[in-house]
Amino acid sequence: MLGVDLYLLWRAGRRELPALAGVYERAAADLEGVRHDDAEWCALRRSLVSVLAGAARQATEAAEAVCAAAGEYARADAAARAEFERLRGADGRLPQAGAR
Amino acid sequence: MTYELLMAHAAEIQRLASEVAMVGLRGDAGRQAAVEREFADVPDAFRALTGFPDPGRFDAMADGVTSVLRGLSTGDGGDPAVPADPELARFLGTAGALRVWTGPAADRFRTGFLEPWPALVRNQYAIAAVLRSALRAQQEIWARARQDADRIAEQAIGALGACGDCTRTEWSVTFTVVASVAAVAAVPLGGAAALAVGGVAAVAQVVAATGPAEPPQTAFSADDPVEVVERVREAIGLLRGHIRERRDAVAAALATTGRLMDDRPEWFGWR
Repeated sequence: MLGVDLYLLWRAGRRELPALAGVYERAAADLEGVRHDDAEWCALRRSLVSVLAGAARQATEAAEAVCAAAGEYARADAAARAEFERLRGADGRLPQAGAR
Repeated sequence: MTYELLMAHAAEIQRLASEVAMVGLRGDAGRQAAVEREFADVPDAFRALTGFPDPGRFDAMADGVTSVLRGLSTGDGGDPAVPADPELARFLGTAGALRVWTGPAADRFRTGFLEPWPALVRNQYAIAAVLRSALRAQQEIWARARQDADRIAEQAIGALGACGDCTRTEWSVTFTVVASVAAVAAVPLGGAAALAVGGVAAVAQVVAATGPAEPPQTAFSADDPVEVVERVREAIGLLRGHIRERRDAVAAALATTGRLMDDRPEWFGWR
């Protein structure tokens, strides 16, 4: 994976997705804060608050999963590099026959 | 007009009706008492109209929903007062960054949220727009109901003043409340928002589309104060009926929208 791809993925998990979750959390809280005594209006408001809170949860869960995935990819890349360097040898020569 | 003024009008109607009806009774205490009884219910008839909510209190509620709309706006909702939320605009550009994320969790998020999200957020916006439009419709109902109540009282005072003329007194009341819901601007959904999946935008127009655009005029006529006051009672009854119809229309639009959310949760990202 290219470093820039990994960075953009990491940034989506650290910034864009949490920001989206924040937008939804604020919208749900703002809507819940609107007080009205009309039953039908309140019923529709409850439905939308539930949708918005659900979207916030999804975005938060995705952010965590994306961060975990980005960390995993970075570790895999680092491990691949270390393995590559070990196989290549410190001086860049081919390892002796029999090395794994 | 304030409720105090409306009740002052009611007292004036009661006083004027009694005064006109007593002309010619020449101190007949029994008949005078009967006249007073005839009009004794006038203040109570108007008092039933003083419990209307203050239309001004809907402003804060509508402002609260506007702030929700701003948060959910992708900028194409057709309302210049609700520009795109910058965080949403930024999120729209992240789909590319997430393409390198693979696995079952990534697939679930991609198909269940990321890909349909542009349509989901517009539908969520549409529901919030319905909520705000309903508030504006309710506000308009109560504002016009107050005006109509005032007109009923003022016309009755005028009619009582004309009693005793040789001709039958005629007047009309325009029940502006009937056109109150239609008068509220349509839920502002234009451009791309109108293309959101499943016709949610069409439902969003329901609140604004109910009821006639032109308020009906109802003609009244009377020969004497008793008839004038009877017409006033009738007009108050009509007004209350019209208010009920309009409130029911808004409630029905809200219920229709709610049923849509229940029936098609996937249009809203509701799991």
